[in-house]
Amino acid sequence: MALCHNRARFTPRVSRGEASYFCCHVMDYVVSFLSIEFGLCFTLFFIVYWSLCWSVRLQNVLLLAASYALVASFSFNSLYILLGYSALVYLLGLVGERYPGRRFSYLLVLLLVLGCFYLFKYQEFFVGGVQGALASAGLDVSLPVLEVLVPIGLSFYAFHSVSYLVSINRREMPSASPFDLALYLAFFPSLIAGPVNRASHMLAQIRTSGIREVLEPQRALGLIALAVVKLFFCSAWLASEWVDPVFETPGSYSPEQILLSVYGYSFLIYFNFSGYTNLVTGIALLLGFRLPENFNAPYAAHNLKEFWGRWHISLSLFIRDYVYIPLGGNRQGVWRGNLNMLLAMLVSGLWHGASINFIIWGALHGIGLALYKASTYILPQPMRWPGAGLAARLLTFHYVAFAWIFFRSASLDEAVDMLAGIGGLSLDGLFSSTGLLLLVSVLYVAVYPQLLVLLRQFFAATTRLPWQLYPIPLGLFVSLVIFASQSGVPGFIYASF
Amino acid sequence: MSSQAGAAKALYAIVITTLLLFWLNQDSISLYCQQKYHQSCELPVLGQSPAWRLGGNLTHALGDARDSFVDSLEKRNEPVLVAKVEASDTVELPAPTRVVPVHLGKPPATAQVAVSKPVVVQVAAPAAPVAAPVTQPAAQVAQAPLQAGTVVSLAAGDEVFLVGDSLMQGVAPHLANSLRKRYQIKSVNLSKQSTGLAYPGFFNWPQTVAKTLESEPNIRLMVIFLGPNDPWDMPQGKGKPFLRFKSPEWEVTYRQRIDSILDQARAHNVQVIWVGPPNMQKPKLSTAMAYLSGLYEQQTGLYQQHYVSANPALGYNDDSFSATLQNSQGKRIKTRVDDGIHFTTTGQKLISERILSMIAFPGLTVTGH
Repeated sequence: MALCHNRARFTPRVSRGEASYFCCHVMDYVVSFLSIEFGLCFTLFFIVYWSLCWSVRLQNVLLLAASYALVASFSFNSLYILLGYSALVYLLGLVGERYPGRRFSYLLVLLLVLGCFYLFKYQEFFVGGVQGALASAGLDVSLPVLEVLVPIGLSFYAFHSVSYLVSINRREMPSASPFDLALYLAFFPSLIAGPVNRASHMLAQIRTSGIREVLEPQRALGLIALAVVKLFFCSAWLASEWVDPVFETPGSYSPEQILLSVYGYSFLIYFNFSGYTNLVTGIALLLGFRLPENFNAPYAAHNLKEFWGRWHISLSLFIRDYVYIPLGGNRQGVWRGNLNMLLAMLVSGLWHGASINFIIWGALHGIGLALYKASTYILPQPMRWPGAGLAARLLTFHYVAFAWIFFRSASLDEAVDMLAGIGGLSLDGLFSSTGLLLLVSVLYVAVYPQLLVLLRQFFAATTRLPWQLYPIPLGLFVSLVIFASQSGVPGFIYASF
Repeated sequence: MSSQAGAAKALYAIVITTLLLFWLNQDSISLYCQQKYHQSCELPVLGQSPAWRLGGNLTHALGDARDSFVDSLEKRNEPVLVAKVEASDTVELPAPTRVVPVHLGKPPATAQVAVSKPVVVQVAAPAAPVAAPVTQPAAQVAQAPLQAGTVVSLAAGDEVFLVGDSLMQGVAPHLANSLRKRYQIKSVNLSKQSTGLAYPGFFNWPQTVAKTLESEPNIRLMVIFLGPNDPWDMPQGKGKPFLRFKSPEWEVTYRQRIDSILDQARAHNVQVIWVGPPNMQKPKLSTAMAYLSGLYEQQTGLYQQHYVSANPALGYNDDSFSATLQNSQGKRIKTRVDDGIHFTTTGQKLISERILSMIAFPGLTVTGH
């Protein structure tokens, strides 16, 4: 059992507070996907899977069995819920096909998704909030709370089901067979923490008419190695050296150290989440599947709008297509458009976790997007004065980092403590060793686009190595990374509590 | 066919990379395996072959080279600290059978009879129930003008050292925040998930405590909270069979590890509050925790240090488990998370407050909160 070693090393192990539920969970699973046991099982699976390459159908059976086994290894309840959910989605698919686009068809979809989210993720949060509000109005009411565990993967397969059901209602595709649908919802690489798939894209790959092939094997293995670097080396180091101690007890640190921990967390959450995406993308390629792109150098963004086109892309597009546009998008005037954007970002925040901090995080991004939009009326885009691009990137990075404070803090009080701490920044404090690290961090963001070009060239060059030789530098490179990490293998392949 | 050829190429790459990784990281992996599966994980034939061992030895040699490089660099950078670095590197841990010399470094404890060898060999001690709140030993009452219920005291400039596993990782931030906000007391939190006393090859607490107490002379109180990673058979050395959990040999070894931490505390004149792990949802784990708590309580008692069970703080009066606690308004609040082991924020705060209530702060004014 992997337990969250703290609230949010963008998640790993049981969370200390409920706040960063999503975060905690992602890392939990990251760890299990990068475990020695998973690696060995996957190798065996890989052999059996490709020995069946003459039958896509048999390969799919194997994939579904593996996906269900993975869910069951977390808990059987999660598996029963996934099975029940898949059955309901299948039925709603039939309804949608019979009565496409009708109001009640959509209503049923909404009921299913919101009902599940409420039941499994948000009960305590909402009941607590409502009871608190009533209590302050002098009413002591006790609302019922069903004690249920959050089923693994719910956040993602619920979104996958929305894409499927909406496509049917829009007559973009017919309903899928129960088996294909079950695999679409349970496909293990993207079950646990995304990316968010689209039905048209994934179902086409599940039902492929030809023979499947390993896609870009060298790039796939390179992505997995990249994930090891990002997860074990970068984010684990940042977490223990710059971030976790400060976010836990901000009051014990200087303003410069607190600011550094915020920079550190901004890098950490990127390394962590994009590393996870690299990992599952690599695994999927090895199985002959292409997952949607999820990250594209987010801190190279010049504004918030661009940031959301580069960060957790599959989620941004989902929120745009299934929340923002159905709310009316920007078709009903400026004010309504901004309101819709704010609502969409609030939904996104709440989806990340059931706490006031995530709502604030979503609201900050909603407001930030509106402010950016307003600024484009005053400052014609793109700005051409020298340094404008750099200034825009640094401003965007700092705003995003500011919002991360709420995302990472376990409670509103802690976030306020962090902000109060940063408020004490002084010029004197900046002339210190911590000040130097702050400068390095800002410089890193400043030269990030140039750095990225180099890294991408290097990565592309490695995938051009002859395939017979490729594993040697790959294995040595990963070993070197493990060697350079703080505590060697046992340090991060955690075991128990 | 091309599909299978592609898969075979990929498999070749996976297998070669995996072999290379296992070859170079064999020692770390076998430690991981030990800690996770609680048995020795040597490869049957291959494990002894020189060619296979070479990989592990290469990594070891590289590690040594790295360490001596870093040491040498630090020595050149900070000549003043040389003595300190050396001292902390050569901390000797008590040998397993050594009789602990009696030197009462802790003045207030004089009322008690001199403590000799603290290893109490109890043959398969029954799981001692530890539900009742700890009563204060009479010897401590005479210590100082402590407030009611407090057993240790801290003055301005003192620091607190927090030791433990992920249970402690949950409690430590609340403790550290309260100490700092109310009393301006600093703390050193080294709690680390997956750690305990049974697998020193994975993480060695006695050694970490020794080094930390050496390098942080202001530490006057150590709070220890661990246990759930320990109720397993444990390794006693390369090639030897594992010690069976709860066997007399296991217990002797485990008590020695507790003692070596308490010895370090005594040598540095540090007060100790040892927090016993609470009841768990799984009966087997819960019984094991009660057994370990018994060991912690007895050994801390022998050193005239302080033991407190986490049970009363969570409202457990016997060996039963509950994920919730009835508060003063009669409402049930959740104290444990769904794994039946860790705490909710409420649970963490309750335990933190329980520990704080044992500390007196003579002369320190409470501020804020």
